[in-house]
Amino acid sequence: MQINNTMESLTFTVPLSRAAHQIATQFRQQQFNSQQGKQVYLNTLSVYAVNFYLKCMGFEPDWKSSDSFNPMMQKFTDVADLNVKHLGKLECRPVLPEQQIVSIPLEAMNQRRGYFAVQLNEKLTEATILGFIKNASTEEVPLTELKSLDFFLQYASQLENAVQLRQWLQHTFETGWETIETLLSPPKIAWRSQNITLDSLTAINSDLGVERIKKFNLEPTGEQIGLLVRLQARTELEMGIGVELYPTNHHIYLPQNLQLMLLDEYGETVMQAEARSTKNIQLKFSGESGEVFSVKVALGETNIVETFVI
Amino acid sequence: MNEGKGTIDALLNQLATEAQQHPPRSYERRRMLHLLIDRILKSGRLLRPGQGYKLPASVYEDVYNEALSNTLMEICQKIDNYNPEKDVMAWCNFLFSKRFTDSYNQSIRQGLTYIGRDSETPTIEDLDYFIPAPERTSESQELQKLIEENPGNLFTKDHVKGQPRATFQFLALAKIWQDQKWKDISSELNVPVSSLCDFFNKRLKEFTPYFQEYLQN
Repeated sequence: MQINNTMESLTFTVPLSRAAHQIATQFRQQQFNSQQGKQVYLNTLSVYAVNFYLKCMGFEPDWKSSDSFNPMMQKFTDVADLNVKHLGKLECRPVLPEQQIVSIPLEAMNQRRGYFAVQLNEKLTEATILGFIKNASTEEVPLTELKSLDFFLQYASQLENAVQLRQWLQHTFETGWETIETLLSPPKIAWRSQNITLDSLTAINSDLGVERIKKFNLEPTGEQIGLLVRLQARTELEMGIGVELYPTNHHIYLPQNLQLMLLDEYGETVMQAEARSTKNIQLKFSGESGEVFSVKVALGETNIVETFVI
Repeated sequence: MNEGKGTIDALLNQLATEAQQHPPRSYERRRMLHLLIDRILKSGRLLRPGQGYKLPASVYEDVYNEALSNTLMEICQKIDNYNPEKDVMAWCNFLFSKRFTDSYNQSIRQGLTYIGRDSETPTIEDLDYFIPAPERTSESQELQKLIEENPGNLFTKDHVKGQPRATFQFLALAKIWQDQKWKDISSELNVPVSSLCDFFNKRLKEFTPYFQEYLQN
């Protein structure tokens, strides 16, 4: 289809209205010197453009809570960040008309989920979001290294819809993630299913961590499996994670050749287990706050993927 | 000509219809909306509303840009309201005229339509000629003095782990008032930039209300 070919290089142009310039002027007037004033002005227009883009795309940016909206932070750091619900901090760096690189100061590299390059025209009447990168290893990134906004949309949508594991520790769970007891004995048919399914599964002591299970249908065979995730906070940043598959619907064994895979944020398989007349299979690993991983369950041609943020 | 016109309409209508078919927040819907906006802007079919208002050119451009931004945002957020039996551009231009009137009325309320030349927004070049207000310069000096005087050892009470010299006081003075680069401070103190910035930003947020209060008095 015609549409597919054009996504690769797609940019997004935002008209810079008076409203944008008013905010930029207001922030610039707070600055100590003209160099800083100019930087803050350009940063503000960049963030304004990305804020607009993200809102159009149905994300939930919160500029007011960001450092780039705080005159004191602007005085002390060269910052163009934007907080976005479920995504974290995105940095929006301005690019001047003739520049072939996007410069990312070291102080703007901390705890960022990614970086946008925003090109401003000489008259400052429009801003074009050129592209996005997830990680910056140098302070000057050539524009040719940027990924397209299509890549951003894919990455951010996946992240936004991911299961937020850190919230589990505060006992906030996404829909579908049940306690083992709930899944084992749905209220009305409790008398039928007791002691029949999942007998190998016993709840762990809740003091040790959190665990939740979600049921998945493996179409087209209609096989059902339960994906259990166990969490244990080890340090402030590090979390121990166990992922296990269990049969449901009165089955004792998992389907033959059922595969459980752990994928890193780039979609590469980093761990794998396969069922052969087994009651359950599991993977154990640990990760740091902010890391993204996916769990893939595959049976023949069918597979399901669930993405998590630690 | 007519054929080209029909092709653009068909493409825009297809993009809008496809966007509707995917749930909000899905990658597929966002992708279609992104393309839709891009193609609307490149279509050459956007009206120039409000010609009758006889606005000065720079004011017109500004009202136009604001109305256009609002229109594009509205299309994205209300894509489910699009009626597939009509052309996207008809819907878009209908919204655009309405938003133009809104922006025009607002700029009248703000008195912007009569200011003329002074109301023009700056270019990149203009930004180099910005002169900070005298009170900003004195604020900078006051803050510097405050951090140097260090009342109650507030700015030296803790430091980056493993480097007692790396206090907020040291970092702020070096970075802001001696205009040193993080890289240089990092090699001088033998502490990674990320640790310095982490520490500095955390303390800065902590001190911000205090600084603000200090400057107000």
